[in-house]
Formats: sequence, structure tokens, C-alpha cells
Amino acid sequence: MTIELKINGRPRRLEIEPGDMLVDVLREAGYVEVKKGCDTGSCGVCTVLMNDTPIPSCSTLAAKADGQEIITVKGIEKEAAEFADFLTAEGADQCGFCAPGFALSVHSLVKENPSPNEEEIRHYLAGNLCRCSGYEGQLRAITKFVEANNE
Amino acid sequence: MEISTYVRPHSLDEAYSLLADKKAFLIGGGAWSRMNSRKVDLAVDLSSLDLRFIKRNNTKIEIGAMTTARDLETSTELKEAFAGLFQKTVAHIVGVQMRNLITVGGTVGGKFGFSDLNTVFLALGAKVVLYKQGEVDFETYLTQRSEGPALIEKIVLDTQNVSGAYEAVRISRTDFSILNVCALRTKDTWRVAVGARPGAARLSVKAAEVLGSEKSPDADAAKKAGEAAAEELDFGNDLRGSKEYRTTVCRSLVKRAIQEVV
Repeated sequence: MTIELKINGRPRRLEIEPGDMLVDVLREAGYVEVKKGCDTGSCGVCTVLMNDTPIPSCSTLAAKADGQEIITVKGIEKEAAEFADFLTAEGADQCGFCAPGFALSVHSLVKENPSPNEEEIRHYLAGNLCRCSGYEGQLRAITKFVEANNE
Repeated sequence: MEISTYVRPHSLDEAYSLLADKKAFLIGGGAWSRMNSRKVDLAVDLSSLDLRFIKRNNTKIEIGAMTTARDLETSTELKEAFAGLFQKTVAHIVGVQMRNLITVGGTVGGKFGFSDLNTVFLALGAKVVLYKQGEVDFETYLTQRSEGPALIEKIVLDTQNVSGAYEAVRISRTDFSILNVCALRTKDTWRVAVGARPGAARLSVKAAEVLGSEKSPDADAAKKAGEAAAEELDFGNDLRGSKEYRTTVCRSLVKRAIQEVV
């Protein structure tokens, strides 16, 4: 079947199998910034935005993206780069595999709640796992990123 | 999931016909598609039927089948009607991303044993509105096989004189419940539902009997209700917990949930 969608603002027409998952379709179409981690919807690595809402692309049928707008981390490149500076400054970035999904979740968090407290940050990002660190660095990075955004 | 044909109908009539005539497989959020190995001839995606809503009128709240778990978490209507009950119930269902995908219709229709939400709907005495078939009591829906095609349109909740609390035990945040409980006080009765036994949620009639019409049961009554629920209901083993563990935890969770109801 054919799906027509916008990816990072650009209209795309893609041929898919009806049972294909979005993560695979996006990667095959060249959007390799979308990472595949647990492949069971648990780790958040494959997060993309569908109509501005974060979803796990490994658990989303590609057919559902027909007519919708998808944003990968490259679609928020400038903001992700700014956030990456905070991450590295706090020593929170190690292998970087979780970073694309993580940056998109932080983007959505701040959009929904511009001044989140620590508990709200932890709650919103519970679905983004990092296997290198203990999350403390990320928490500091997000807190400082949010403070800088609100200044 | 292997799917041969995928369609997204624009009317309930069309969806119902496909379900009735061609035994189509309904897709809500599709959150389990990746983990499901079944082969499906015809998948019917319900996302173009305007079933994503939470509407409140005087004494009822209607929740459309395509409403997401995240919608429940952030709904002001549900917060006004049930305080933090729904927020707490869905808060630890995986992460925000997954909650944006999971739908009420998919959860109810799946009758999943591990479900957090179905435990609360059961305690609330929700009505399941099936297209062309009308209202079915949630307990009936959960415990009996549906006769004929079942296309869930919405869930209807009574908001009058109800106050509820939800408790669950998980190995870690974002994991499935090992056991979950919803205690609900209505005008003159209590309803205590226990889910993830690991089977689907069931009401404890005996716990409700212990509590009677008492508005504010003391610690001893709450403890007795917990013991009654643990004795009455069946529990089983799975990789998250043993039957014995669940039975023990049930006593505490029921007691705790009752004491939380204000």
C-alpha cells in the first residue's frame, strides 16, 4: 500500500506493507537518525513526533502515519543541538544512542509544560531509558536547559 | 503482525460491516501490533471515526474508544469528576510515548489481564457502548464472550456520588502491574476491583459486604475487606509474581485503597 505523509516538513510518498512498523519504514526511507532499541515500546529510543505528539515508532503501524506529519530529531535540529550542549556539559552523553528519542521527548515536555519540576521531568521521561548513566546528569541538563529557555 | 489489507473507514457503519461480514481485526492505537504474531487478512483502523473525545454532561462522562491513555491522564473533565483517580491509574503505563498510542477501546476490547484501566472501569461500573448493540455493563463485558461483532463506540461513566482510589504494585515504574486494585465508594455501597491477578479484573463481593454502607471505614474494617478480597478472588503465577505473593499483596493494596478514598 502507499502512504503519503510529511516527514520533517517534506511531503513523502512511501510504499509499505500494511503490517510494517513506522521505525523500519522511516529508516529504510533514509531517516536513520530514528534508532531502534528494545523494539517493544519500552525504551523510547525510537521516539518520533506524529502531529507534534511523541510516539514509539517501533510500536506504531506505518499505515497510521498516512496523511500525518512526522518529525524526527533532524526536524528539531537546532533545538536538539542546543540541548546536546547542556547534556555534554553535564557529562550525561555517553554512547548517544538514546539521544535522538530523548531530545524529542524533552522537546515535547517543554512544549507541554515550560517550567517542569523534578518530579514532572522524571515522570515525563520515564519512557526514555539510558543504559550508560544513572539519569542524574540528564536531569541536571534538562533543568539547566529549561532555565536557559525561560530566561 | 502480518496484515494483508489495511483500511481506515470513515463511518461506524462501514467499520461495523467489515467487522460483521469479513471478521476484520480492529486496530485502535495498534500498540500491540509489533508484539503480536498473528496473521490478519483485514485490519480496520478506527482512527477516522471521530471516536477520540471525553465529554461531560450533568451526571455522566463519555469516553470515546479512540481516546488515548495520555488523554485520560491530562483530562480536566476526568480530574474534576474523579479527582486524581485516572491520572494515577495510567501514570505508570510504560512512558508518555506509549500512552499517546494506547487507546481506551483497545484496552477494553483486549480484556487484558494486566490492564490498569479495566480495573478502574470495573469498579466504576462503567457501561460499554457497542455500536448497534447498545450498552453492556462492564462486568458482563469483561467476563462474558461477546455475542456477535463488538465494535466499541465509547465508555460511559456515572459521576454522581463516587469517590475512588487506585493502587498498584510494579517491579519498576513503566512495567506491568503485578497486582492492581481500585476501591470505589458510591452513595451507599462500596465496589472493590482487583486486576492483574494475573487474570482480568474481578469484583470482590465479600470486600464490599464487609464495608457495607460505611462512609469512612476504620483501619480494622479496611483490613478485613482486604482479607476478604484475598480469600474470595483467584490468583495465579506468572513471571512477575507468584500466586502466594499476589494473595498477600492483595490484602495490603485493598486495605490501602479503601483508606485512600476520601
